[in-house]
Amino acid sequence: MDKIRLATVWLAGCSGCHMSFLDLDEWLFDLAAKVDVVYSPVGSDIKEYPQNVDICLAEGAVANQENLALILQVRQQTKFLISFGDCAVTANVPAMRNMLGGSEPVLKRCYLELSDTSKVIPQDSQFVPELLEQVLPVHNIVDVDLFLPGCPPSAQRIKDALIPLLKGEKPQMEGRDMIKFG
Amino acid sequence: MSVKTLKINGIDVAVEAGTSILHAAQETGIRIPTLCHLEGVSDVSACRLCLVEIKGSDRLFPSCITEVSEGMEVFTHTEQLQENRKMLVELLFAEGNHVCAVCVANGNCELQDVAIEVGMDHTRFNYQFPQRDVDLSHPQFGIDHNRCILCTRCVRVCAEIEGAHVWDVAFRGENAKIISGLNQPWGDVEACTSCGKCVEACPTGTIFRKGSTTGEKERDRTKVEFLSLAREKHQWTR
Amino acid sequence: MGINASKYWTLPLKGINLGVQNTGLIEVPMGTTIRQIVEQMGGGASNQGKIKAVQTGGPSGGCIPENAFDTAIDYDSLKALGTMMGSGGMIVIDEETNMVDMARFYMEFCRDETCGKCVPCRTGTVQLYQILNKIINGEATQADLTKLKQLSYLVKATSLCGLGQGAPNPILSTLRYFEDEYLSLLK
Repeated sequence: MDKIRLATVWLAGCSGCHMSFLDLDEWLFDLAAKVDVVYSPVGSDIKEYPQNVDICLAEGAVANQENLALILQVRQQTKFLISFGDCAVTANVPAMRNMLGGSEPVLKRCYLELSDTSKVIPQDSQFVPELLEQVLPVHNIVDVDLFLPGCPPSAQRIKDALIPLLKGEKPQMEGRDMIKFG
Repeated sequence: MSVKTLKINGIDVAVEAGTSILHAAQETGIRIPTLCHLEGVSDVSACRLCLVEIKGSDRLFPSCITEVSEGMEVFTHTEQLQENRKMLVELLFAEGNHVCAVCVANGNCELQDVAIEVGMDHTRFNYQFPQRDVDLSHPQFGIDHNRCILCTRCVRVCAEIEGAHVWDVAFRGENAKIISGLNQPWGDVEACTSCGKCVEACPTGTIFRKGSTTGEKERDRTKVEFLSLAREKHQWTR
Repeated sequence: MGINASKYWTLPLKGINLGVQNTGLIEVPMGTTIRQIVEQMGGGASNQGKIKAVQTGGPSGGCIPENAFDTAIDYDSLKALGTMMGSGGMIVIDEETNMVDMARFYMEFCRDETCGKCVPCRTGTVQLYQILNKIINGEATQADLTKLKQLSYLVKATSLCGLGQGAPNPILSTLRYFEDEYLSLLK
């Protein structure tokens, strides 16, 4: 049987969910026996998101043009997309900038008002992706197949969600151990 | 004392006349979720989570303010009711700025607990990201309106138990807001006795003790319940 | 039987996009048909156009399509059509008016009028208004329409007072008779 093609992506988040994923420790060996990690900031060195991904864990909210382009591509090329952690599910901390009311006030606050020396708003979108007006959770942009909340979701929670998925079953997302936010 | 007999989810129950369905269910060991009910103060039936079905009516009844009656048949957890509750909690999460990860009440929050109870793993509604204030003018306490669900427990516990009536609700609809005094900074309100009952009554991390950080808001609900119920139960002897 | 205490119905007759020729306050006996009111008293369509519906009962009421205009009006018949006597008002709507837009107009009113005490009415009206906006802007999908229906039922069933319980009525009744107008706006 072909191995399951697993990917993880990192949008606007702190990478804590990925750290929690690495906290799976020795179970990662069991996982590696069942999956090919085809794209991941912590598990592979592939630059282009590949075709025909079976399962993708998407960490982070959608905050800029780069996040947006990536998540649209991920959705097209992935069978089962998981909103991985609170930022993906609720937009969480990255979305606290939304309360300032748009990208312009955020950039001014950050690069002009709070800057000590060179007061310049970065302009070159080739190097710095443009901010979206609002930071949004992943399911506001594309359809999501499973929500895995937590900031970060514990290694145990990630494992309990992945085990049924590897068998082709949908995990039971209920109870404090599985769906508590924060 | 007269007794009423009724059925809750098929279980026979006998309770004192005048008991609310919410309390009758509690005595039967059935928990009905609620966010605005607080033992010892009046009920306002505002959160709508405790709505139940009663046989013979196609309306829903708030169990916190509906008294039991003889022969009543109550259903507390039908599929429709559970779906309603889930949607209501989703609406609450979308309405305010509830960032559990950085909240003083993380792990000790009734909104968070109810979300788990109703099985909410995301909200299907659009986040509103409202622009709301934080008032830190009081020397001991703070209020972060981003986390407020307008349950008005603080209003009631302050008016009915402490008798200070520092809190109230101003404005309407999506702009409704808990205010102190006449919409003054909390620290300027002379009526406030700094008793801290509102901190204990608040179901979320909206009203908190200054100096507490993420997940540090501890809650001793027994304290506010003692204060609220002691007069009724004659526990105050002097 | 509903309440039939009142034998006469006094109603302000209005029109959107001019609607009918004669507008104003009229008093009719119970049992008068909508067609009599619209065509005889109202004088029919004002701008060569066609009348497609009337809205009765104010913002918490509902619409009645042209093919039900022969209904004799009383409290029960209006209820059976999914609307109500309510304020007694009747607004005549011609073909130029988009029913989704009309539902949005009423929802905006309810969103502004909600007191904010109970959760479904305070936040539900805001969300309903936004979903209607999304539909009108041509950005909505079938999933949004499903959400609109679910939320309408929630607000109707769980709101504390009549304002919230009635707020989704313009959506539910336009969906009942004019769902095609919603569907044609979806992505």
